[in-house]
Formats: sequence, C-alpha cells, structure tokens
Amino acid sequence: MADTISTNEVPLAVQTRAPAMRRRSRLEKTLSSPSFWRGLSALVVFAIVWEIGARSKLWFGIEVPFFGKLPAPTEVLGAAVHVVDKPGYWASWYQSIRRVLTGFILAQILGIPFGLALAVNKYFRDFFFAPFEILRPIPPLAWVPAALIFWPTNEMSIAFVTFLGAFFTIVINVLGDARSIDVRYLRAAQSMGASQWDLFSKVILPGTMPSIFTGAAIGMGITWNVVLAAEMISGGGSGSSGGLGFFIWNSYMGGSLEQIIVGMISIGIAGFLSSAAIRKLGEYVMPWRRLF
Amino acid sequence: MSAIAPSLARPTAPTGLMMLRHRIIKTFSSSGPYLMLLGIFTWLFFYWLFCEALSLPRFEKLPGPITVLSDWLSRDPAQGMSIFVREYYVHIFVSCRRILIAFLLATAVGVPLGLFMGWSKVVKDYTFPILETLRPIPIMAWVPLAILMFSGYETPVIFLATLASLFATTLNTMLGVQSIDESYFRAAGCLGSSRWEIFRHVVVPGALPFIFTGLQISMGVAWFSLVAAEMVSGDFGLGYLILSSYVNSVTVPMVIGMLTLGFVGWFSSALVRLLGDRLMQWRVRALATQGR
Amino acid sequence: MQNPPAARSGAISIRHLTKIYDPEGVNVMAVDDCSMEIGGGEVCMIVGPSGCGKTTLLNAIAGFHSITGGEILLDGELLCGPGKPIAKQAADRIVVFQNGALFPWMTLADNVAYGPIVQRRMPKKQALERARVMLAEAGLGSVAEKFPGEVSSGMARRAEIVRALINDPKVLLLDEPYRAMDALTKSIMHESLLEMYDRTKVTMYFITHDLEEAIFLGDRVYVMTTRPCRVKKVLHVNLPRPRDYHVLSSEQFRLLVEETSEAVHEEAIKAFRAGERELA
Repeated sequence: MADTISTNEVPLAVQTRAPAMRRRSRLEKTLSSPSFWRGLSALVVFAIVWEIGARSKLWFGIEVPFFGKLPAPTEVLGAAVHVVDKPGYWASWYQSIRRVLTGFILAQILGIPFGLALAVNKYFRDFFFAPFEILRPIPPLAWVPAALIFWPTNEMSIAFVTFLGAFFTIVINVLGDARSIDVRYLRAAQSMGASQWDLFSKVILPGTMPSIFTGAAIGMGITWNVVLAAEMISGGGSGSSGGLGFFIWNSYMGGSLEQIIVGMISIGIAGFLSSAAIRKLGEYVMPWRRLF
Repeated sequence: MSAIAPSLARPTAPTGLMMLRHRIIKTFSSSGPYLMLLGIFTWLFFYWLFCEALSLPRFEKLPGPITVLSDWLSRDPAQGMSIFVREYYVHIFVSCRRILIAFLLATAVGVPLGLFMGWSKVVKDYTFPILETLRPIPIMAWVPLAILMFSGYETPVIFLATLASLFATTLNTMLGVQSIDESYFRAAGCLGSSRWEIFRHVVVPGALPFIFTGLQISMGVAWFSLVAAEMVSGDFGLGYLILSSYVNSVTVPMVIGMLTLGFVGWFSSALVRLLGDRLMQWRVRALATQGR
Repeated sequence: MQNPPAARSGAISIRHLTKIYDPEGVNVMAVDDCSMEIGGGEVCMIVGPSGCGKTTLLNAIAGFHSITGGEILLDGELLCGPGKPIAKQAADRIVVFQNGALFPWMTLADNVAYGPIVQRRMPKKQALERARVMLAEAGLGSVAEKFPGEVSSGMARRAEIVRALINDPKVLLLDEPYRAMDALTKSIMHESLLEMYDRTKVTMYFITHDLEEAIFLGDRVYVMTTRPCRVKKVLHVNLPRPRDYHVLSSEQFRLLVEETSEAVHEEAIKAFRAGERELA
C-alpha cells in the first residue's frame, strides 16, 4: 500500500527538469497495465479448467466432481451460435425484459415518492412504517402463490411480485439516504429564502438521487431474479414463448445442457446491460458525481 | 462544581435505569408510538375488511387475519397448520438449517477472500474479473445447473443460497478494506508493524463495519434464494410449504408460511446486526457520543 | 560517520531532493532540488502555501513515497537516495497525521501501547501500564479507556502524539496536526506539545500554515516556495526555552513574525494565482 502512484515513474537517472509527456490514450493505458493481463489470464485459465473438467470423462475416463457434468465451453459456443438464429430465442429476451421493466418501473413510480414521503414527514412515517417493515422481510417469491390466487392472469401476478421486490428495495434505500442528508444543506437553503417545495425539489431530491440509483440497481437485480423464478415456477405464462427463465427451464427439461448455459449467459448479459443502463442514466442525471 | 447553591445535589452521571425510564417517558409522550399502533391497526383492519367482512371479488379467495390467526393458534387447525402442529416446526427448522449452512459457508469463504482482495492488488487482479463475470447472472439462472451438478434436494438448494450470499459478502468485504483511510495503514507502518500485523490490526477491524453491512445483505439474499430454490425443487422448508399449500388449495398455511418467513428472516438479520454491534463497540459508543 | 549510540539525535539531512509525480501520464514536479539540514533535537517548522510539496518531503522522510532524485540521510545513514528510492518504514520516524490516525477500534490506551507491543519491545501488560502513565502525564488519564470516537479532537491529537513518543522515535513528523482546530484548543495543544518537547527533546518536522504557530513552537522556520518546492527563506528563532504563551505578546516575537510574513505572503499570492488544488 506504500507507493500508490503509477508504476511509470521517471527513473532516478533522468534530469530534474520534467518534460510534460503526452497523455496516453485509454487503450494504451489498459493494454500496458499488469492488472488487465492478470485478469485476462485468470479468465483464460478458468475457461481452460472448465474445458478440461467438462471433457475429462471423455479424455481421461475420470469424472471431475462438479465440472464433469457440465458441457464444455466449446460445446456451449456451438449451441449459442445455433440458438441465436432462432426467433424464439429473441422472443424470450423480449418477454423477460418486458416483465422486468413493467414491475421495475411501477416500483420506481410508486416507491420513490413513498420513500421520500416517509423520510420527510414524521407523521407519515410513524403511520406507514410499521406495516411496511413487517411486510418487507417476506421474500418477494413467497408472494407468488398468493399473487397467483389474487390476480386473474399469470402476467399480472408476475408483475405484482416483481413490483414488490423492487418496491421494498427502493423505498428502504431512499429512506436511508434522505434522512441522512446533511442538515447544513437544508439550513443553507432555508436561509436563502427557499420555500418548502424548493427545499424538497432542490435539496432533498438531488441529495437523494445517488441512493435512488443505488436502490434502482439493487432492485434491478432482485427484479431479474423474481422474473426468472416466476417464469420457471408458473411455466412461462401464456403465449408461444415464456421468457428467458422458461427458456432455461425448458432446456433443462429437454436435456440440452449446452442451452442451459447459453441461457444463463444470455441472462447475465441482459442483467449486466440493465445495470449499465441504470448507471449511465445515473451519470446523466447526476453530472456532479462524475468528479468522484 | 457549582458554588451557587450548596443545597443543589451534586450532579452525577445518569444511571442506565434513569436513562431508560427517561427514554420510555419521552417516547410515549410523543405521537410516535400511537401513530405506529394506529398504522398497524388500520392495515389489519383493511386486510380484514377486504378479505373477510366484505368479501370483495378477488380478496375473498385470500384468508383474512381472523381466519389465519384462528388456525395458527388453534390446537386443531382446519387446514392443518398451526403452532401446535409438529410439521410446522419441521419446516422452520429445515429452512433455518439450510440458511445457517449457506450463510456460514459463504461467510467463511467470502470474508477472507474479500479481505485478501482488498488487501492485495495482485489477488484482486486475478479474482475480481471472474467474480464480476459471474455476478450479473441472477441466482435463479443457476437453478437448473445446480440441480444437474448436485444430487438430491438439499445440496442444490444450499448451493444457490451460498452462491448468492457469497457474492454479497465478498464484494462488501472488499469494499470495506478499500474504504479504510490510507492514514491508518501508514500510521501502523511507521509504528513498526509487520505486514501481517497491519492485516490483523488495521485491515480486519477497519473493514468490519462494511463486513457486517454485507452480512446483513447476504442474510437477506440467502433467504431470498432459499425460498426460490425451495419452491422450484424442494421438500420441506418454508418455501416449499407456501408452494405446496397453494397447490393443494389450502390458503391458510400459505399465509402462515409467509408470515413465519418474514419473521424468521427479520430475526436472523437482527441477530447479525446485534453481533456486529457487540464486535464493534467503538462504533456504537462513538455514534452515541454524537447523539445518534 | 556514525553518531555515538547514546545520542538519539535524529539529525536529518536532505540534499538536492527531487520528486516527480506521474498522474495520468503528465509529469508533475512536486519538489525541485530542495536541500535542508535539520539538527538533532531541533524543532523544524515548515511553512508554505497549500499544495507546494511540504507533505511530499514528509512522505519521503517517513517512507510513504519514493523520491526521484537526491538523497535523505538520518544521522549520517542513508534513508533513501540513488539505488534506494524509498525509505524503509521503521519506528524511528513516526508521523502524526492531519486528520488524526488513532485507530478508531482501539481505546486510547491500546492505541498508545500499540507501538511497543507490535515491535515486541515490551510485554502487553507492561506496555499498557506505560501507556496509561504517559497518557496521564499528558492530561488524558481519565479518558485512557475511551475510544477515539468518544473524545474531543484535541484529546485525540494529544493521544496520537503520546502514541508516537512512547516509542522513543528519533524524529516526530507532524503534518498540520492542529489545522482543523479552533484557536483556543490550538493554544492548549501548543503548550502541551512544548511541554512534551521539553521532556523528550525529540527532533520535530512540523508542517503548518500558521506562521505564528511556527515561530512560537519552532527553533528554525523554513519558508517554502509554491510548487515546485524549494527553500525560500530560513528563519532562526532565538526565543529561549521553555516557552509559554507570554512569548506571544513579546516584542521579539512580533519582530520575528514581521520578518517572515512578507516572504510567506508572496508565496501565498503566487499559489492563489496558480489556482492550486490542495495536494492534501
């Protein structure tokens, strides 16, 4: 932890007048950093171990405990190429993303104001917080059967459960952050003649933005899990394609192991893209954070 | 010492009991707890109103609070599940045992791993990319794979909960180490500590607050994954109870299961938080001094 | 050129020191050919505008950062120089940090006892005993079992100095330790420090913004230029020791402040114009 300056320090023998060096491009910096190569090599080793472990039964006759039952990465790639052609695959993407977004956006629309109201108004909080806190620890998926009973269609129950998962998360995040806004900001605004609404829109709301986005990011992860589980449990819902969860479950039922992994990777990519989208949106909305 | 009125008793530090009494009086003299009770009562009232009294269209299919409570507390429950039924405790025990194993396993692996990842850039360079590649894949996507890789019911379920916990614990621990102010490392260094001593006396205690935040998150995540896994493939356990009650059209055990799940989930998180408070006495006392 | 082992003199010799940072591929020269001689047992005050590189020198002596050119010697032995770019961290040069670095998870007594325990110089029980004694000497006897988060910043800073002094260091390096304090607390800190110095006579390298603080506490005051850092002016403070707050109103003190303030002010203006961001 001693010397945290970059390893590219000018050696001792060089002259004392420091010439300004040109700024290196990001690509150059990435390629020349040892961290990058270490990470890459780790991933490559991981892939190789996986490949050998998966094929070990074939090649050596011994079956490695966990990797042995998995399909090899090369087989997975083959299946991926094959599956990407089929429109059903992309329809699954659409279905899952649609479900995720429905529940998620609804949760944000209702959750952010609710959370802010809880934070800002003491009476509101005293009244609503207890029932909220009692219901919150119940995992969203535990609501699935109740939702299936209550809502007329499968789709609506899935939407409800996804909504719940993201709702609790965003409210708790907003509440935590809004209450810890430095009181000096509020006082400064008040002393400059801000009205209650001004205080809210110009101090509390921007101050809570970071946690709104943190809550959104976490909520997104939970939403994906809920959607997938719901798709797997409720058999994919109506329509020809039931989403990525259904895709995986189907592949499992059909015994196509490579496709399971293709599905997993697809979902991973989808999840990563959603989080990245939230992060980008956050950077756009909160330009002042870029300084950090 | 006051020289003004000798008859005034010499001020002594308030005893714990006096403080407690003072706090209780203060709490009950404000509107807080009354509103809270009102909130809970209102919620229960509407729950009862919709599901039992008025029997509104879809609400009537769900059991109301009185139905649930009367079964839950009766020696001879109509739908077969109550606190007097042995099976109830079997479900609770099975779920808790799985959570305990998953949580302990994830902590035993995740905390040291996270510590080393935060402590040594080299370790982080090799392990972080692999972690970050696997992390976006939602836990539910692992379900078919888990069933394939591990035999029986127990192991896949525990595997899923452990995996989910592991990501949360490792990441938060690593962040915890990274959040430690550089000055503490330098101070320890110039006081003559070896690298190992710095690890023991600076890294571990310094990361503890983040570690415990991570553990609480990981506990929540473990329950989430466990319930989902139990629903998809399991025998016994609260998640299984909920789903099977739904399948068998007995809705009261379903609600009992949900509420029990909520309580046990909350209780386990509270235990973790309490443990954290015990281990981090310095933090509790410092916050108290600041009046929080 | 070894000093006799009895003398814990802690004389530092900085010769033609140069330090070049390389953030984002653009060289930044923090220190340029800086030389100074600090005598053993001397209180050496470093005054200069923000971001001029004073902390870089401290970091070099303490062994936190490497140097690019020149050398630093401690009692004639090479700390760092050609072929040895970074000094080894050892308990002979201890730092007191700007924002305080008492370990929050240990009580004051445990903090102070940390050095001797970790260096295996004393068994734990003995170290704690000694720690409590020294804390009491510094007026902190009643709070020795409290955590740093529970005591005021003044108490914490004093405890940090005790934590350093219990190890009998050759040099005490202080990086604007009283910067965040109000004037009243500061004056108590000064008296406490002077008292500790009179007892231990440890060499001190003390960075500060405050010229009056520098002259009140120091034997020699170095006024540094803005980046890149060089010695602009050296002031010898001839005020007799032991000193107390009466010195502050003396004629001699006023003259010394006058003599140096113009030099400091010049550099401050230059730094301000250059829009230096704090190199904290």
